[in-house]
Order: sequence, then C-alpha cells, then structure tokens
Amino acid sequence: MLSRRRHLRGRGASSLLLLGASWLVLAGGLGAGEVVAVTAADARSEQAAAAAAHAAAAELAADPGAGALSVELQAARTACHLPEETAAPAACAPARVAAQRVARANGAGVVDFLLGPDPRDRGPEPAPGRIVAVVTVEVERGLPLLRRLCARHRPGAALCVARATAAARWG
Amino acid sequence: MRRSGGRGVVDPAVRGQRGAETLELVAGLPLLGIVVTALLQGAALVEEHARAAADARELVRHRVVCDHRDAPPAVVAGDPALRSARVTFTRAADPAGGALVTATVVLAPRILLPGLPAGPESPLAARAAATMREEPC
Repeated sequence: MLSRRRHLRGRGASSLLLLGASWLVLAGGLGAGEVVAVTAADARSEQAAAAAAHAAAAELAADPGAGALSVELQAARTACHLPEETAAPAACAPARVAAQRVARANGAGVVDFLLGPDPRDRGPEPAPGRIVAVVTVEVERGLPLLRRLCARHRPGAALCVARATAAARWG
Repeated sequence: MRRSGGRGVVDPAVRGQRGAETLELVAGLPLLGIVVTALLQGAALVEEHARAAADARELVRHRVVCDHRDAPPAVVAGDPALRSARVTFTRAADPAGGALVTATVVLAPRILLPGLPAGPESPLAARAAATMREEPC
C-alpha cells in the first residue's frame, strides 16, 4: 500500500515537472519571439533613417537652390525644422518630402527632420554648398504579444516603436 | 532504495517504479533533442533574416551611389551566401523627381530539422528589402 502511494506520488511529480518544463519552453519561445521582433525593428529603423537622410541629401544635390540654402543654414537663419518653422526657405520642403517618401518605402515614418551646416563650415574656411541632413524615423515594432496593448494604451512608448536618427552630408 | 529483509532483494514495486522512470527518461531524450534542434533552427532562421536585411541594405546602397552601381552583388556584400540567393532590383521613378531603387534579397534557409522545406521558394526563406533614392550623377 505504502509502495503504491509512493509510486503514484512519483508519477505526479514527474507529470508536474513535465508540465512546468512545457510552460517554460512555451514562455521561452514567446520571449525569444519578442526579442527578435524588437531587434528586427531596431535594424529596420536604422536602415530607414539612413535611407531617408540620404534621400534628403540626394534631393539637395539635385536642387539648384541648395547653395543659397547652405548659406542660410550657416547664418543660422533657418534649420528647416518643418512643419514648426513657418518661414523656412523653399528648398527645405522638397528635401523633407524626399526623406518622407523613402522612409515610407522602408516601412517607417519621419518624426523629425533638420538641416544644418556642415561641421567644416564652422572652421576658419566656411564655403557655400555643404549641408547636413538629420532625420529621425519611427518604426512600429509589431510585437506579437504586446501588439494590442501598444495600439490601445501606449502608441508612442519606446517598447512599442523603434526610433533611429541618421545624418547624411551633401557637398 | 527499499530492500526486503536486508538480503539484497529489491521490492518488485520499487523495481517497477525505477523501470518506469528509466523508460520515461529514454522516451524523453529524443523529445529533448527535437526541442533543442527546433530552438537552433529558430536561431538559424533569425540569423538568416538578419543577414538578408544587411545584404539588401548594402546592395541598395551600392546601387544608388554613382561610383558603385556596376559592382557584382556577391563582391559588394561580401557574403558568399548571396551566390545562391535570389537578388532583384527594382527602380521606380518618383513623381516628385529622382528615382527610388529597391533591393530584394531572398536567402535559402539553413535547414536543421529534417522534413522542413529548403530552397529560396521555401516559406522559411529569409526575405528582406531596402529602398533608397538614386543619387544624381
């Protein structure tokens, strides 16, 4: 009788262990999935930011008004901080639109856009025609478990979106 | 261990329990092997995906920069896996001016679990795309 009871207790313990291990594997798998989603979104946002900044620089390279804009930027009369800046030069908007298009093509959205003078122009020999574009983008992480929570409660939280900033130089 | 009468004879009930435990362990080992292989397979797929994304990024960057447009893909990305990968470039004119170039890389998955579909057509294949604007040359 005692032996039978012990035997049953042993079986119960091993079943419990198996159940616990199964839950552990499941939780580990889901956690790994979340980690993969987080790192993938980070990589995507970095790519999107770099591509958007490059697009802005490429747009400036094709714009005949970019030389005059670089002078404005050096004089700190503008930073092309759109849409906050109301009297920004005309060459700012096309560069921002180009950055937005490329960011969207990479699954991201531009949240901040700035143009500034090249660091070389802060030295003893400033020259026109050199501009640095700085773009910040945001990508939704699309976390498998927290997707609904992010959509409802914390749409801008760091866990829900990946942010990245990149700069590109023209000239 | 319970012995009867101290003569070195194991109780049949205890012996049966030990046998069942051994059987459970033997049956559980292949399961453990499958779980570990599945975890490694998942890690391999994630690594392939990261590699495909990095390759797409490098390829599109070289395609849009004036000086590097004609470089062969495997040399550009420095990834030998690209030789068996499917690489496509698409160029779309931007209505606002310029052109957007998209590089798409499909890498064949490394299969560790037998029975899973292999090759670039496999649903497990790592797909990644990157888009950049073409520089005016």
